[in-house]
Parts: sequence; C-alpha cells; structure tokens
Amino acid sequence: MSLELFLFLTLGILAVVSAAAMIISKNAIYSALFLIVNFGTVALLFLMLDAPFISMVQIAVYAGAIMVLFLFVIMLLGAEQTTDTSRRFRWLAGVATALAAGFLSALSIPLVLSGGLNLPEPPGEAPQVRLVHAARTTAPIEVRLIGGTEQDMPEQGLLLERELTFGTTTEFQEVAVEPGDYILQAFYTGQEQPASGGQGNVLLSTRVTLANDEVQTFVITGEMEIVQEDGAERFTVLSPFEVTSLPNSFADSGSDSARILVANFYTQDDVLLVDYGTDGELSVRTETVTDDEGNERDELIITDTVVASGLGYGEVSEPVSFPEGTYNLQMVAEVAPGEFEVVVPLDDWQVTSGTEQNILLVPDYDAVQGEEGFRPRVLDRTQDEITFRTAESFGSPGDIGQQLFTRYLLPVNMVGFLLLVGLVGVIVLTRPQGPSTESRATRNRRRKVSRPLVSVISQQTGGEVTVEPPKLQEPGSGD
Amino acid sequence: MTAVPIEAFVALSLVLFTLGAMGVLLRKNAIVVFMSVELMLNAANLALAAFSLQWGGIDGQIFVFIVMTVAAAEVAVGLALIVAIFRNRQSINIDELHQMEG
Repeated sequence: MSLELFLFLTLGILAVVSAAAMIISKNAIYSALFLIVNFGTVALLFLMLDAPFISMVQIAVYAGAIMVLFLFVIMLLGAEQTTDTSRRFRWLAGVATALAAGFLSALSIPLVLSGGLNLPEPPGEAPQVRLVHAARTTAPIEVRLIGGTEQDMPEQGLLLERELTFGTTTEFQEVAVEPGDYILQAFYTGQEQPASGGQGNVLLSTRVTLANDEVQTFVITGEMEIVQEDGAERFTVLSPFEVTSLPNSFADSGSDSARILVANFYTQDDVLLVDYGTDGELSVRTETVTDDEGNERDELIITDTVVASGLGYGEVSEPVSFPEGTYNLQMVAEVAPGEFEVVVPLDDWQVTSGTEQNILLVPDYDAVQGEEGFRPRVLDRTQDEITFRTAESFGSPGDIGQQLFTRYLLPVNMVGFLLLVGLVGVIVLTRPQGPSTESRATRNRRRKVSRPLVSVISQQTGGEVTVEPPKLQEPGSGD
Repeated sequence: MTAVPIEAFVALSLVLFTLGAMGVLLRKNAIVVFMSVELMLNAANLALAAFSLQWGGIDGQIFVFIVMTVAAAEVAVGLALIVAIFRNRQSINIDELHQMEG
C-alpha cells in the first residue's frame, strides 16, 4: 500500500467517523467540535488534491471563522440540548435511513458496475510553435497559419511572425487554435510589396499538424534571390522553400542529461557531429572488413563519440540524450569517402542538463557578401527550456487569484454583493423587537407637546376651551 | 496525479454528503441541522476539487472558493434567523416550530 493510499484511507475513515459522531452526539457543543475535526480532515484531503490554497482557506474560514460563530451562538442561546419532547416525527428516523441507503446505492451501484466514473481526459496544453529562418536570403519573411475548421480564424490567417529575419529563432508561442491540420504559409514582404498576405509573393505553403501538449520547431529552408529591376524589387526562388519540423517531445528528456538534435541545412555532403575529445583530433582507425562477395576492403571507423552521423541536406537526426558537461564538438562533413573536413568547430560546447539543444547547420548570411560566399554556422546556440504549467503552480494562491481577477471577476463581484445582502439581512433579523428606547422617548415627548392641557381643563371646567392657533406672521408683509 | 484514484475522493464525498443529509432529516436541534448542511456543502467542495484535479484545470477550485464564500454568508444569515426565532419562542427545536402548518 502506497503512502498516499494509506493517508487517504486514514483521513477518509476519520472524516466519516467524525461526521457520524457529529450527527449522533446529543450535545450540540460536541457536534460542533466533531465538525471541526471533519473540516480539518477535509482540508488535508484538499492538500492531497493539489489544492493548497483551498486547503488553507478551508481551515481558516470553515474550521475557524464559521465554527467559532456556531459555537458562539450555541453558547449564547444555551441550546446545547434540545428537549426531545415531541413524538410526532418518530417515523422519520427510519425513513431518513432508508432514503440515505437508497441514495448511496443508487449512485454507487452504477459506479461499481461501470468500473469507475469514466471521466474524460483533460484537453491538455495548447500547441506551441517556434519558427527558424534558415533560408538563403536576407529578406525577412512573414509566416501565417491558415485553414483549419476554426470558426474565428481571421481571413488572412493567424499571424505567427511578421518579420522573420534570417538566422533568427522565435520564442515558443502558444497557438490559440484547435488541434488539427493547418497550412503554414510564408510570404516575402519586400518594401515595394503590398502590406501583407498578398497572393503573389507566397514562398511556401505546407500542411502542418498541430496537437495539444506538443511543441514544434518549424525550420524554413530554401533559396531566394532579390533583383532590382526597373526600380522595383523582384524575387526569384532558386530552390524551393520547405518546412522541416523538428520533433520536440520534452517528456522523455532526463533530468541528468540534455537532448541534442542535429540538422543539416547547409551542404549536400553528409555531416557528422563528433566529439573530438581532449586530443583535439579526429581519431580513426582502419579496419579490414570482408563483404558478402569475399572481397576485402578497408573501412574507416571513427573511434571518437559520434553524436549524429550521415545527415544529408535537410535531414534531421534523432534526438540524442547527452550527459551534462563541456565537449569539444566538431561539425564534420564527409567530402569524399574517408575524407573528413571540419565545417564548423564547436569548441567548449556547454551542455546543461534538462535542456534541449537544436544544433542547426545553416548558411551564414553575414558572410554572403564576401568572396567566400556562404559560410556555415550553427544556429540556436542558446539552450531552450520549455516551461509547461507545472504541478507546483497548480492550485497555488497566485494561480487562483489570477483567475479570480480575470475570468471570474463577475462571479466574485456577485458573491461580494451576496455577502453585503447577507450583512443587511443579519442586521434586519436581529434588530430588537418593538420600538427602540430612543424612539419611544421621542413619541412620549411628542404626546406631551401635541396634547396640551386643553382637554384636562375642559373636563374640569365643564366648558369648552378653544385654543387659538398662533398667528404666523408672513415674512415681509410690512406690519 | 495522485496514486489514489479520483473515484475514491468522489465516493468519500458521496458518503459525507449522505451523512449530512441524514443529519438534516434526523436531528431536532436547528443548529445541528445547520451544521449538517455545512457538512453537505463541504462534501460537494471535495468532489469539485477532485474533478478539478482530474480535468487539470483550476476552475473547480475557483468554484470551491465561491461555494465557501456563499456558505459563510449563509451561516451568518442562518444563525441570525435562529437567534431571532429563539428570542420569540425560547426554543430552537424544529419539531416545535410548526406554526406555518396548514
């Protein structure tokens, strides 16, 4: 039996026993005390349900404030024990017990028969998307997401990035769409072009699939040239634009290692990522192998640690789990069989545990104006950590408070109004019966004034007494 | 997700709710009846928190919070009623409070 199950059983039994004791005990004080025990155990159960804030509120408000109020009223009224004089409702006990048993069985028998509640699965987090511009062009491109069945999708599509410049990697952003198939479109937005979304300058239109609880990196590759013609900018697509989706499943990244993913968007040669080790050289040894036809030939075998190998253009390696540390990584291209050439040295490459590294080999556009043309470089040196909403923030005061102030502001206001009405109701209900002493005094005074001794005098004298009402002088009459 | 199935929490809340309902029906003391109502509200809160965890959303816990506030208002008004009744009739035995009987 796990600790949690043991705790649950202990608390559950304690809760049921204290609730039963509350009902059974003859003295209302004991009932209240048992109810406090019950509220305390339920508070601990809230803690088990990842609701720490609710648990604390339960103790402070329920077990604290409300129960103090109950005890106070019991003591005030001296109502610990009610005189059980009436015999009118004796039959009610049996009926109530039967009703309770019927209620419990009506709800629990189907529960047992169907083998649980068959609760629906949670919808999960919205899909997250990140874009990488790795195409051979200086021009910024605009990326939009269109299509799908989403009703509130804008006509021009969902703008993912207005100006994606070469070599940049956007932050992961949540895409507020239903999971499903969409079309990812990239546009060239030159200065002479219409604002955005013009159909003439679509560089790319690819179907992508977005799923909940998934993070994806879209690498946009291709080649484009901008020529000045009659004072206007024209663009020519030299090699087709493509989107490569890098797999990101952070669920299986270990705590003591990082995940490394290598992709080649630079050369047609096969690319390897090799850890050269401390000697700073590629260690190889030749081995003579015999193939199926009995011919002997030499084969080069790299004895250093190979992170990824055999990556042709546009190919992405499988994610490799790599322990934490500093490595002497080298991006090596196999220019000819058995001939290796370092493309990009990644000396003193830091690998931090719990992160994900995408090492993308892309052309270096900064060097394109030089004579050497495109030079390779490695994109995304930063190590990305993706933060999904973790269990720590779930049910925390901050989490609940933010919801109360944003989505649930109207219910909170209504509850506040209800409390105000309750306050007024309490004042009205417990107001002392009859007129207060002050108003009685006022009435008596008024009686003395309004009933002068006229009637008394007329009784004693037997004659009629007329009282002239005092004549009021009109202001400003001039008399 | 805890090792305890959500169904266990729901079943416990069911039992507590039934106990509260029995208390409402069986007891004669108005204050104890009132405490039983609180027990029922609390059982509903437990089920809400359990479903909130199952769904992975915070909404259920917000509901618990609002129910607690409503319960506090209800307790204040209810106890005021009991005090007013006691002042009039010197008793809070609900069997003796049947002046509205037709």
